[in-house]
Amino acid sequence: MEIKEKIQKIKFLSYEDIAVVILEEQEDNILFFVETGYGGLETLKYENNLRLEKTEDYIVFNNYNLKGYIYKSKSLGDVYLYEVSFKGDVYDLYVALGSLKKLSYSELEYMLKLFFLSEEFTTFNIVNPSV
Amino acid sequence: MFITIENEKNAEELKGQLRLLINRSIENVLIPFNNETLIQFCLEQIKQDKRFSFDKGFPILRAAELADMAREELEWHILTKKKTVFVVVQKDLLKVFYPYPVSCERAFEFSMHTIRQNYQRLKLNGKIFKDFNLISIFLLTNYKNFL
Repeated sequence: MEIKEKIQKIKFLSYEDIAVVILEEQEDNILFFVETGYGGLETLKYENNLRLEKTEDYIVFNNYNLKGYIYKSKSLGDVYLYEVSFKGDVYDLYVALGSLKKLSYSELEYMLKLFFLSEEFTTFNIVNPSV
Repeated sequence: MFITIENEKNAEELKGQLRLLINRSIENVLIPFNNETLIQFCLEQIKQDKRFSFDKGFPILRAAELADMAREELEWHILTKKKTVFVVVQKDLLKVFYPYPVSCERAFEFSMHTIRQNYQRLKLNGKIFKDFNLISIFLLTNYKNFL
């Protein structure tokens, strides 16, 4: 898949100030995340007229509860999202980790590690030091 | 929920007018406030203005973002009126409260102008603060010298 096409596929998720942050571009995939805010993916979906195709069970992963979704883009196919939240003293962080293909357990672990290195999570750790 | 206007025409101007509306009324916000009460306060002001509606036309702002706008305008109000803010230092952070922190043992009085001039604001748009009366968070690099 052309990079341009991949980016376009991710772009459908973005809405004004909600930034889609690319974590890593791979040969056949792009790992990214989007901050969903308190309303989570449901709000994002509503505001973008997205179709929620399937909801999977929670994936319990190293104390984090990740909920997987598949979003259908009209022209470009599926996008896989994994919703996760982090509780803090000052604020809670709600994000959806995204991929253009379904991830295995180890791939999820890898994406989570990438997210932990992101500016968004670093800021969350600075502001919520007790976490 | 979106704050909406009749049509796309003049959207930028009306978004500015919306901010002005918040600016002019923000000093009357009930204390203590948090994210929810800030949004509620702003919605009450907006409901009284016929230029704006809710989910009925062209969207100019998400209701959830009203708290950010309210905090920004409150900060501007503090600056222009040269009022004192209350600062709580937590490791490398400077948590800025106005008027006073509700649940805090030790807060220092400071000028908002000084803080803005010397310290880096954390970009926390859209975050729902849990502390009452918390308006912004700055990152300190030399806070020991500052105090």
